[in-house]
Amino acid sequence: MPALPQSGIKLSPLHVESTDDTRDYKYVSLKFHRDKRYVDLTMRGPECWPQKNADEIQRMGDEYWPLRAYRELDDALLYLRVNEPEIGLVCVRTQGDIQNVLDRDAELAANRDNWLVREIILLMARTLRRLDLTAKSFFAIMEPGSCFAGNLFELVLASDRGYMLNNPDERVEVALSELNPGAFPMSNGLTRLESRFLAEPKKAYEAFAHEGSFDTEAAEAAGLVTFAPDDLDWDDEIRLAIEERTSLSPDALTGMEASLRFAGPETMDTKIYGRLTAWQNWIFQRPNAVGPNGALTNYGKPTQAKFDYKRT
Amino acid sequence: MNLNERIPNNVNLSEDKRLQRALEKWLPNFLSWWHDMGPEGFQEKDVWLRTAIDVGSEGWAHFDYVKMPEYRWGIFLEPAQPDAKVGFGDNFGAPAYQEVPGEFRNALRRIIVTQGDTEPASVEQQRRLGATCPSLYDLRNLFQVNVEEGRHLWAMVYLLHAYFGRDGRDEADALLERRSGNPDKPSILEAFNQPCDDWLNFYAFTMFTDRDGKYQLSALAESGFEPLARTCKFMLTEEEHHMFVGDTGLSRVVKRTAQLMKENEDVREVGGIPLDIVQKYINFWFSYSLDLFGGEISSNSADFFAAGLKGRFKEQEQYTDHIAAEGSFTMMVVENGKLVPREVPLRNALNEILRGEYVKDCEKGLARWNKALTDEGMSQRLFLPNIRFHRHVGEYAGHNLDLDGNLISKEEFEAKKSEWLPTKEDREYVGSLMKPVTEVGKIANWIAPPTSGIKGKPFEFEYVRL
Ligand SMILES: [Fe+2]
Ligand SMILES: [Fe+2]
Repeated sequence: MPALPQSGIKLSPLHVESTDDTRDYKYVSLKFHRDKRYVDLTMRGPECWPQKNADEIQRMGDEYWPLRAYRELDDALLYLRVNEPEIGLVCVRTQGDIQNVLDRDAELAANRDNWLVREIILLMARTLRRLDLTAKSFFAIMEPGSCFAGNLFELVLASDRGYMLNNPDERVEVALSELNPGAFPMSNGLTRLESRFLAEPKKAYEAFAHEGSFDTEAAEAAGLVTFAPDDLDWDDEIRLAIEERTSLSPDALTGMEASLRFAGPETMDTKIYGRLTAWQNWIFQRPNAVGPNGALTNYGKPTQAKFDYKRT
Repeated sequence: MNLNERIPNNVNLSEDKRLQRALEKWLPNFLSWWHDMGPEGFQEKDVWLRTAIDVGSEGWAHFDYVKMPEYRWGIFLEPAQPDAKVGFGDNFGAPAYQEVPGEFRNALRRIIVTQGDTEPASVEQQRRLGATCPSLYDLRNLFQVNVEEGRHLWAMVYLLHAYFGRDGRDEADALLERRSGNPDKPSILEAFNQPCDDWLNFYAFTMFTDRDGKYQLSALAESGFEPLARTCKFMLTEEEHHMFVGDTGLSRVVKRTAQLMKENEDVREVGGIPLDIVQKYINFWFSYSLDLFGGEISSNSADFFAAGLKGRFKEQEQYTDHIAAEGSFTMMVVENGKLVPREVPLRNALNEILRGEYVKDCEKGLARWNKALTDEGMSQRLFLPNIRFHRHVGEYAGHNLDLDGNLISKEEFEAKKSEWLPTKEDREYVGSLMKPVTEVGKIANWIAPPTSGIKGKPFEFEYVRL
């Protein structure tokens, strides 16, 4: 048993600045495209500093990047859920230096027996599960300048699709850290990589065992990203994907996403959130299916379905 | 290779990197397809062809001798209209789509691929006809149709390359991989898998099947996706000639048959094509071409219209209500072994309405051929079978109907089939007449010469240098 802490840390309220179409925290920003029913969620990576020990981390308190950034992410996700029902799609982006993220992961791993670090890792895991359980579509957008590494790579794995730019002139990289193989379990008890490669467990091990970062081609070959358009296709592919996704029935998407996110073993959580049959029953009685403007009501008729785009 | 010089275009190819890259890869595949599957035996010959080198009235019909593999397949769109609007459907009046709207990506790609698939297929179907041409004039017309179908393929590939990213490039490659009549990788639409191996087939095909093309293109020329609309408008100018070849070709066959009938009642004795065989070829190609319009009752047609992707024939000129959400259309359907009328919401009946426009147009051709018979003093008449006859798509598929559109039993149909549709013997007889005539100014015995040549040249002109 690790020793009990002498004293705790103080969590001060998060500082947010918002306008009509933005909401900015220190490390997280939301930019709304309400006419297109999607939001850009950008997470900024940590600054560079030499590895700290547990005492130093405790002295940083709620300013410590892993704690602050994930509290902000948690708040942003809850804000989107409660206040922005018509926003159906979240495009997740990151900005920063991959090495800084990996350094923080190494720091967390080295101090994981410390009470505070343990709580911080649990908070990060809970926040990522909150993302898994959010009834909105998520696309991870991996562009130059992004830092989807270690804990932030979980955002890619948690997303419904990952787009990674393939351009020899502007390399984009992603990386795994020692935290990916177990620190952030999903509701089904698996890591996100294990869930992704449920039918090919070998691939999850290969990804964990991979030395160094992945460039776009390596990431695509390893099955870590969904699409890798090149620079000529990039803008149009992203635009089309966004427009296509946000035009579909929000209920059908919620059901499909929940079912696909929780493949594999069932736990009490996934029985509630991840059962396809339950979702199908739900989708087929929603107004978007059977109401006067619903898809089933209008099927085979000259009129088109009109959806209420509010997510639940 | 300098694509911009090689490919006449008005789509700013020299600036469009994405398009350049896609075409650089696709062009060699197209050329090898043309080499393998294009007109057989004449690739090295000089043919007096029309090439579109510009969209202006001067540039789109430039005539000169050219070897077909060196034909300059170009990419042309009608000039853009400022402030173009979506002309029909649920988004009526909204600005026209200059890019593919994400929500319509699949539907639009399907429309374009289906149209694109027909273009190389017809070239493949017609690839051996050169060996049996009735005259140099006809040979040249065949090749004109072939190179322009090639250009139509280019037009659809342009849309796929320019607007659909990687999916579009994959679809463009697949267009060159399917083969007319090949059971493993057939063309998408059945009329384009039927053999077209004699010139009577060729004229019937260009009369009836290219005419389907005209109506599909006209409906797409109304599209709210402006690049598609502008592409199709330009293709229509070329399609006119293809139908001319079919319409006048059949007219000349009919005229010649009538002349020969005066010599000998049994025209077979004097090397003509009997009218009953002509009628059977009409029945065959007309019915297969009707299938190309799709099911009579169609939720696709309703969806495409609602989305503003595919309109009606002359949507702007002929109609005032461009929403078409109200109203219905009554058509005959088969129910419990009987033909009964059914009322269908207008938007779901748009395939049938377009088919109706097509039939009216075909009837004009029939009237011209019957006039050719009258002019030769003959009282026989050719006719179009009922639209329900011999159908493989839609409400009448799987049922047996006679030439008047009455339901009959399978046995009755089988017993009459040889009177209604070309038999093996009919095809063999027509095939036996197909001997090449390649002397300047000469023509085969079974067909009359045209009343005039091409672009001011006389019939006695060396349209192809052999
Ligand atoms: Fe064509
Ligand atoms: Fe044609």
